[in-house]
Amino acid sequence: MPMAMGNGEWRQIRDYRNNAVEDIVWSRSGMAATPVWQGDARLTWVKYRSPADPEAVLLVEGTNFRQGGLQIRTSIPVILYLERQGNSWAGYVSFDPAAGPLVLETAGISALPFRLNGVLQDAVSVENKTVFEISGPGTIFFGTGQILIHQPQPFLGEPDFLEWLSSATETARDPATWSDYQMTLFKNQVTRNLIRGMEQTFSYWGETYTGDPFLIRNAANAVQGLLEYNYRSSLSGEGILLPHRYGFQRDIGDTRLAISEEGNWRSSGPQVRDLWIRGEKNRSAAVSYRFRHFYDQYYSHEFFADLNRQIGADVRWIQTEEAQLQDYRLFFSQPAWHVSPRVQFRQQTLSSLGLDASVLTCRASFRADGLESRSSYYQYLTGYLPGRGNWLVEGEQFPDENLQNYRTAFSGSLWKSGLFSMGMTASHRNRWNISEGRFAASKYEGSYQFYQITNYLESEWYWNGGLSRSVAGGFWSGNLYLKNWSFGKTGLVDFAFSRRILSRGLWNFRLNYKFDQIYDSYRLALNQQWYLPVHKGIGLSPLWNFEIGQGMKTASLGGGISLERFWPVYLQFLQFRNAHPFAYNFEWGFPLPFIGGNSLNVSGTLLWASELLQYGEVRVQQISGNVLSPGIYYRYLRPREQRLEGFLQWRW
Amino acid sequence: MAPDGGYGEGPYYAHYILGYLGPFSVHLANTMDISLFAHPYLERMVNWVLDNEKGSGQYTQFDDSYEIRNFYLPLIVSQANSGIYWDTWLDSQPEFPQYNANMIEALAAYREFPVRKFRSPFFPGKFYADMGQVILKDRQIAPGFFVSLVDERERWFADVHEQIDPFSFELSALAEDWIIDGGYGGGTGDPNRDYFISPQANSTVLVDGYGTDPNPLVGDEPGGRLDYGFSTPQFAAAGLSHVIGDVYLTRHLFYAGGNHVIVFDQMDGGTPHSYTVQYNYLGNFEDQGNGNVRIGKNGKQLNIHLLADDVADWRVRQNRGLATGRQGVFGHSVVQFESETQPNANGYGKWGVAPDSGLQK
Repeated sequence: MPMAMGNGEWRQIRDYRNNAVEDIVWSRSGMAATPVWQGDARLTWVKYRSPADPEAVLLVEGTNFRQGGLQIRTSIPVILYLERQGNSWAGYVSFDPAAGPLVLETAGISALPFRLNGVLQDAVSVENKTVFEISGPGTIFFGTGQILIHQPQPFLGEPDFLEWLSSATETARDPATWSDYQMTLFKNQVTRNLIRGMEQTFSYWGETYTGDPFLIRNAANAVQGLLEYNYRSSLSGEGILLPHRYGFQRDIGDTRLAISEEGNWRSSGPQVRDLWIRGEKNRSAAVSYRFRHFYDQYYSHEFFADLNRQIGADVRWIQTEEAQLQDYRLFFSQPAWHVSPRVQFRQQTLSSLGLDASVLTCRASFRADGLESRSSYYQYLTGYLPGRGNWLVEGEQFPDENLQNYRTAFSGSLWKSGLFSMGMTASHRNRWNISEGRFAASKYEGSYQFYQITNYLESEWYWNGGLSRSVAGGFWSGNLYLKNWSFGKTGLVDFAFSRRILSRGLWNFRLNYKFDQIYDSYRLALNQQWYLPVHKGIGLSPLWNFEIGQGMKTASLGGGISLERFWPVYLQFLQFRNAHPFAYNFEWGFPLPFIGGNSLNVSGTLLWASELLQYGEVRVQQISGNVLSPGIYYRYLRPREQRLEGFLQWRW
Repeated sequence: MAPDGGYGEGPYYAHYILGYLGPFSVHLANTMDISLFAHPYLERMVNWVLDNEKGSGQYTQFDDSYEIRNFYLPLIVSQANSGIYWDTWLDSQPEFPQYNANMIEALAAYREFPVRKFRSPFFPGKFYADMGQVILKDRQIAPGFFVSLVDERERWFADVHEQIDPFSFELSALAEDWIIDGGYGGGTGDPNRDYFISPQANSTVLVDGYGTDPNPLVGDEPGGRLDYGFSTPQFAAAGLSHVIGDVYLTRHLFYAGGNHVIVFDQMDGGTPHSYTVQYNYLGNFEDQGNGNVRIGKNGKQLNIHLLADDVADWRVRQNRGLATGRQGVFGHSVVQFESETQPNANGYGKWGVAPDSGLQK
């Protein structure tokens, strides 16, 4: 059942097997808040096992997000994705670079260093927050560890063979020395340049004699298109077929008349696919008629009347060979109200299935299909006060199944910069059953957050609760997950701690124990990460990770070094034991100062396992102001993908 | 053929060509010791074709595509580095239903390739940035959840078999096809040919009920653009854009593995318009009200939830369409989410709609 939120809509997907929850929230305005997180994005997707500890976050058109100890703030609306892997975070940020550099502020992401598109970026720490300036869209990466992010990389175009010839040696210009491929390139490029030259000539003539440089080219294209289409159509017996679309609009006093039409010119005459005639008076009343004929058996006539923008009628009838659709709608709406009652009648007759009709009244529905009748009703009431809170009561009834579902939710601010929320879900089938109760409370800055959610589903109790505290310089959180109020059945104990120990040094420790008797599995994970400034401009990032569970045992050991004194360089080497006896991962990224103030970004990652290269990606890109010039790209994904391409061109 | 392996005439004709190139490559290997499919273009073309298998035994149907036309993959398994992947993919297929007579010699020439299991880092997002297609799936071979979104580049448009279908969306899951593309129709001579090449046959976004204006003189740019894309081992996203008239359309896909995908459409118009987000579906339709639609078949359900600034501004409508199946053309239904026209005649329209397609057994 969907959950209305007053100023948004919240849908939750629960994966009980993995103790995971996914929230999808559409926010219509301002901040949206669920019992466990708050944010202002138009669309927010969050995945978590413990409510105070998100595992992945997606913000679309957002600038603000907070869940547990994690806080994200951006200077302009972005599309931002972040996922946690161990103590590191990886993701992608997309925004319009023309809106200026993006300032990203995070708290609760203690992992460093930070890399954008594989290259080390500077970070500024302010109290318990870290601030980054991001010059353009791309992959983002906090911390060390092996995380793969794949981006589409278009193949580079073919090199300009003629340009190469112009500066080649006398011997290389001799066609006798060319390969078949070079000869083909030569012919293609000469032909293309000739056509381009003719186009320029026609553009000049067109502009001189008519004022339109594209007139002759467009006319030629149209003739060519007609000839091609005619030739193809004649092969298939269609004759001439040219698509067209026209529109007409005129204001007469306070009345606007608009006609648009789409169809094809055929040898037999014009064919109308779509005709739309509409009139609008004083932007308050409108009438329209629409005819559609998409294919042989498809005819649709649609009448629409909107008498004063608050009362309207819409009649539609579609007749096709195998089905008849009838759609009648009466509606009444008042924009100042939060409720828009509507009446809709829809009938669809399928020759093989008989009658299927439905009536919607005030969002309640009645449905009858043939001999069997079935009805269902849905209603909700919701309200909100901007910045203060929102509430919801909604219900759904299925009389024929003797089932009723109800949900209540409330969230709001009870004290300054704090949030309180609670809710309950109940259903009735022969007897009342409270399937979920939730309660959460949090305070925004440097304080505690507490939550608890209780579910009763299929005769099983699920309880999930936790407490977290974020303070300047770090945070800690603890979460507990129980089934049937017992550790012995299934559960999750999760403890995380992060502490800043020096001006730019961090210490992270995380213990995670998950046990699940139903699926006969358990998992224990321990990992630790430091970021230690050893000298001015030089940092070390040693890390280790150990994970043991049913049928699995992984461990990794490694570290990185970052040099920022001369120019930002990051190098990392990891050795880990997983599916293969040993695997090695080597990553690096550095911009090299180059001629004329340009720089050359070099970044890449290589992964060896079983003494074979399993995955590799290398980029070398010349950065010149805002213009990214061509570079070298190498990608290898064993055993099905291999790419090595590119060229380097420097001009000064 | 685009350098990333995408084939402009669609997956069906890619199969058609590979069906001839496969036996031919065996001849080349035997007579001249040339491994044709070791050429990276052809190797990528095979990988692209296999990526387009929807987990239902069928392939995507944009451009002129019928349902299935397999080529005999074992012929080329030994020719390329991807052979291990192709071999493992082949193992996942229940049968090869079609053989051509001219394959007999090739079959005789085939040497059994030692079975080695394909193992590779998996990314749920597959981006064909040159041809213009994004594929999302939950596993590399025999996916349980599959989505394809097309933004074909005009550079790689095919000629007679091209269909103008930017934003064409297909979704298959639990071995069933749910959201489809109309496909080929009854060939180029089909009396309803202009329906099959029209946007009405695609699961796409329409402006005032119209799709891309294909007129070569005054029409719209027929191709789309991939604005961004990324994939981690557990999440993938992509943003595509396209222009119809004065409306700038953007379609974002967000996929976190599992069996649901978020489609986020933005329509940015210079003048008022109504917008239609339409999905050609296979199954039984049920409008549950409040922007919720359920499509069911064979005991499975596809739930589409509309999220919008004001759901009351959008109406759910049913329509009819044609599709192409193994047995030829058949009628099916279309669900349309249609917005009201913007009341302010001089205003700017910016609309968002995000159906979340969740599948439940």
